[in-house]
Amino acid sequence: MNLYKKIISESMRILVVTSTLGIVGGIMLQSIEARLFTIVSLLVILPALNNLIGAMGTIIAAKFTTLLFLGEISDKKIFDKKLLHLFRQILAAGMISVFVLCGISFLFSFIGELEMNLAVFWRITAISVVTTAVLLFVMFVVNVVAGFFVYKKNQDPDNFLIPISTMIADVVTILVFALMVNLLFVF
Amino acid sequence: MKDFNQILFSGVIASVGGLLAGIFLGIYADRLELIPGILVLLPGFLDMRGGIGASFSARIGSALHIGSLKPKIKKQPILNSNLLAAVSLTLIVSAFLGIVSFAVTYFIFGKFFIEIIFIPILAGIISTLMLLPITTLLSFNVFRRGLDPDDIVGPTTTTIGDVISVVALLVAIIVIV
Repeated sequence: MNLYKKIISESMRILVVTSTLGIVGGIMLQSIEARLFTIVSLLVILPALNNLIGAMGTIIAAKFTTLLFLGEISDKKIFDKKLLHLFRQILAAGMISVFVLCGISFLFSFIGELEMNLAVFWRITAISVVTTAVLLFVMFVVNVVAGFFVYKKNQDPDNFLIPISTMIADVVTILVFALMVNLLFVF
Repeated sequence: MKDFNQILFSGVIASVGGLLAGIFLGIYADRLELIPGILVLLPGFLDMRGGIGASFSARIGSALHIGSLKPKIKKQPILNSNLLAAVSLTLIVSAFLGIVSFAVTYFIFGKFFIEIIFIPILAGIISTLMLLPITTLLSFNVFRRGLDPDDIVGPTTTTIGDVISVVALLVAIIVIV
């Protein structure tokens, strides 16, 4: 099978599934539409959180597959030092990034005269921190388990783990985000 | 430490880049509120764009590491196959997203808005034409400088991809609606 057909056949199914699950995320966004278009800062911060979590997910997937291809990890030892070290790095970088993000978002809200005060700022920060921490843990576990599974079937983990990571970043991020918004912004 | 700094840099850039995309959404929130189904379409479209773009950059990165792809702009079967596959996937999945968004908006939310089918297709074409050359050139450049494309190119193209995707969606909405 030539490379073009191989990429299409290995990627199509997972892309259709992840896009459909993205639609599910979209339906959840519709459920908080009123809050999103009233407290516009929530709409502003959501792609940023998505991006951050997605970026961390692609780093986890890409680094994991590189370690796998180079033979530095094996499925015989899932709690490998290298994997734990990677998780600690990702979590630390994620938490620092989310605080930087919330700070910039707060500044932008003042400049843009959007509806923002300290009470709203702390709620948005709490939503962002909890969402990021939960998602990074979930993504790490999924990438490691799915990565070993796919690799043992002689398929390229790059074709699966990246779309799975972006799917989780979008759907589960929105789910946790929507839950936190419903919890902290009661209309 | 160098590895952590690269990861942190990517995380901060991704956050700030996503914030830029969010700012565009915030500025045009009034216009977006008038498009039935746009919130249904948005995550799936960003998901598709991120999945295709990041897979493309990861495959290029792996090929560069293994040595089967040279970091040069010249005819290389591996590069050509990857580019063609990324374009094909974008067109097919965008059309699928448009149809499903239309169906969801109509059957679940009771709003008939046929234009939602064409918005992601046009936005997909615009974003692909911009993103694939950027991703390819960035991968080659990063690799030639001795940096790890896995740390930098994937997150960077996800970031740029989201901003370009939101802009492409807004352009598609202005053109079609």
